[in-house]
Amino acid sequence: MDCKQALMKLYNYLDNELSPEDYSEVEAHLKTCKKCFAKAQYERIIQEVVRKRCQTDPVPISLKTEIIARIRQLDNISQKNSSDNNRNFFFRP
Amino acid sequence: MTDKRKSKILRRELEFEREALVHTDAVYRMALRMTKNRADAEDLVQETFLKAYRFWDSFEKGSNCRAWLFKILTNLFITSYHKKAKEKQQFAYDDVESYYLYNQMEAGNDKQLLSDPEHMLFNQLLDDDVRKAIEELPEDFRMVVVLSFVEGFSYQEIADIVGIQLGTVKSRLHRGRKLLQKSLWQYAVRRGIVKGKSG
Repeated sequence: MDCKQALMKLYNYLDNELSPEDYSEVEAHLKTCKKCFAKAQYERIIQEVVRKRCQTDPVPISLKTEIIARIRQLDNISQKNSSDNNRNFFFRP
Repeated sequence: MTDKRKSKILRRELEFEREALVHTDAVYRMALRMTKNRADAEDLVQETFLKAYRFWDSFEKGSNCRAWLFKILTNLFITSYHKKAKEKQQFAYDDVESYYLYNQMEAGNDKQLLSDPEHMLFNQLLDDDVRKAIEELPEDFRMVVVLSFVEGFSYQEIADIVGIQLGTVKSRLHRGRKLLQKSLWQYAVRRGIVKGKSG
């Protein structure tokens, strides 16, 4: 595999989207080619940096509590409707 | 209402909390990247979970709940928020070369930068620079870049979540990568980390 072929497959390689055969071929090329190896390292670092930096946003503490409250509200409404329906059923003239 | 029904609802709530709500942080961060502001992100997350709860019985237990939640989130974003943030900018992504950052470094011939990019470049960038670089990506590209880089979904999972073809995932991710690298480079230039044109 030459540099051109390796670089064409590099993103799929980094994303674990290659067949085992292609994966091994790209890996073998990266072991022997300093320049392609450096490019791959850059791409790996960029992905890692993005992943890490995008996971540092503080999540509002109240968010989960608010979701649970809204779900309970939803259930209460459906419970109420259901008991109203039952009542209508039992007290139907 | 009967006790039986009450306990059924309680069980459903607990199950939802255990299976779905554990992903609140990840869903919120994705929402934040897409809406670019906290208030809209919170609304979008709440809508996502309420919709998920309504359809909880149709969720196939044991399958990937996180992917299912992201699918609901992206659908809601595309239908409700997408129109709000009309992006009229044209992106000349095809003008940006692949491996942009590496090529810029190589052209600058800075040996330290080339040999230790992690410390010499990336660690110097602020969290905000990186987040802004992501948020500046066109919506379609941003979505797949975050799903891939941050959430680690496979191409097929992304295709299912966003509702696009596998080939489209690949091309959006490729273009997203190029634009992201150009943007990161521009932040590095603005911060004086590297020399070069920031335009």
